[in-house]
Order: sequence, then C-alpha cells, then structure tokens
Amino acid sequence: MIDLGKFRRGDRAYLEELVRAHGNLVHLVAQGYGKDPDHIKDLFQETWMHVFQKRLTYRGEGSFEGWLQRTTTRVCISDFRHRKAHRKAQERMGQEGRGDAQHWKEKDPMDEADKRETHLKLHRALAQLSNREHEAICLRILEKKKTDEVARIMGIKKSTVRSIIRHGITRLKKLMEAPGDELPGYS
Amino acid sequence: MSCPDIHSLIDSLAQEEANPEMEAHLHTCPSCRGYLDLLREIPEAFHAEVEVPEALVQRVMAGIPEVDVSPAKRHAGGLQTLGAGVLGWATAVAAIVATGSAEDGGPATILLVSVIVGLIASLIQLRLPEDWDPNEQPWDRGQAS
Repeated sequence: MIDLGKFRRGDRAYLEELVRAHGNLVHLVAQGYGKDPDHIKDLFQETWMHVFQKRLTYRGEGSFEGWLQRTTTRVCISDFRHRKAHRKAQERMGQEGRGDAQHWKEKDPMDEADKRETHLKLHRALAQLSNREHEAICLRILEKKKTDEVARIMGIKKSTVRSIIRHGITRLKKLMEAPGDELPGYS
Repeated sequence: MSCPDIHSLIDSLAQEEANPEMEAHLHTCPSCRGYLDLLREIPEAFHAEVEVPEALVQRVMAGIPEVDVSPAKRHAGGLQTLGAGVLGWATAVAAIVATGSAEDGGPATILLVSVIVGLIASLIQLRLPEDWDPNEQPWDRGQAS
C-alpha cells in the first residue's frame, strides 16, 4: 500500500522511496524491451518521469504494482513502436543504419537465464491484455484479493470479474506458449 | 476429477494444505499444471530481484521537477478557483453593461449570463492539474535527458 497523499502531491523524498522499492519491477519490464543496457536505463528513467506526470491518474484503489507495470509497458511499447517506425523509415530511404541494426540483435548476457526470460516474456504478454483483464488479474493474483473485493474495486459484478480473469489467464497462457517474436519487444 | 476452474487453481495457491484430489489431477494433467505454473509466475515476475544501480536512481530523481507541496500553495489553489469564479462573473457583468444588452433582459439576464461565465471559469480552473504552472512550456514537461 502506498501513501497516496504523498505520491499525488509529488513529494520527492517519497518518490525516491518508490523508485528504490519498485525500481526492480520497472527495470525488469524495461529489460524485456530495451535493446542494450543504455536503452534500458533510458526506458527506466522515462517510465519514472511518466509515473510522476501521470501520478494523479492513479486512484489508489487498484494495485500500485499493477498500475506501475502497465505504465512501464506503455512507455516501452510506445518507444518500441517509435523506434520501429524510425527504422522502417530509414530502410525506405536506403539508409540501412547498420550500426543500429547490430545493436538491435545484441542481448544482455544476463538474459540467458530461463527464469528471467520467462519473466520478461510474461511482462510483455501482460501488456497485451485489456485494461480490465490486467487490473483484475493484478488485484486477484498479485494483491491476493477475493473476487468480491475485486468486483467492488472495479465497480463490476462478481461474475464479470470471474469471467474477465478466466479469459485473461487463458489468453496469457496462449501468449506465453507462442514464440517470443510474436510479442512486441527486442528479444 | 475433471479439470478444475481457473479460480479453484487460484484459490489453491493461497491454501496452506494441499487438496489431495487436485494434487492427483495435476500429476496427470499437463494443461492444468501449465496454468498453475503461470499463476505462480505472475507474482514472481513482479517481485523478481533486480539490482537497480544507485546512479540510475539519482539520474531519475535529477530529472524530476520540484513540486511546491507547502500548505500555503495548496490553500492558494482554492483561492485561485474562487478568484477565477469572481473574475468570470465580474467580466460577464461588465460586458453586458458595456454593450447595453442588459436592457433586453434586465437583471435576470445579467445574473444568468454571469453565473454561466463564472461556472465555466471555475471549471477550467478545477480541471487544471495540481502542479500546473502557467509559465511552463510543453517541452519542459517530461524532458529529463
């Protein structure tokens, strides 16, 4: 549970606490999209700037980690699409941008660990879910809330929550079983 | 036992004592095992240990602008809203008197128009973010590096 008042007021000391406490999540998600260590750092910083600017959109009822994960993936996907469009534009202009393309295929040596790959892929798969699926899954599985509590927070019926979670998990499993290149990201 | 509902699998994660019937089913059903593994992976993926360099934390904090959170500033926000409303009403009344349109509808018109303009001015003020700075340029926001 975060201190919503301090967060919304933009208390710097508290924000620094949040960066330290939840930086691992933002960094991990960024690793799934970053093409090299410097790019991951840029995504990390950009995400926290976005968190700061959009802090008033966090209502405080849902999972903060879920909101943070969603915010991070949005920043990363937006960056990925922007870079992809830029690369295509360069290719169209006949500028191969070979140096950049080499960077593209570079892999962080730490990514070799299977567990880590699974986590990176899972974050990219979660980004494919709808807002409602993502929120319900985060509240139910991450925050370990009961279905009726999730329903109250989301302002929907309990049966709808059950259906959203069932659908979301099924979709998530299919995404996890699909080849990694079907999800947006650099790996 | 047939395949359990996804919610039963979620509940089983929170239970301290294993359900023998479900355990037996999981041994024989790779699909359910896959779902259970996925359900376990979600919290792990959120709480994975990743070392964030101190320099990176400092870089983030250096890019975040200062926000004045003093009580005086927050109090000033309310006064600004009130001021905007009063200013809106005064402007509307002055405009109506200056153009002479009051003759058409009398005091009722003045009151109605001034209330509408005042409300619009107040709403505009209320919709602004708490950290809104009228002198800030769009390119000042979110440009950290």
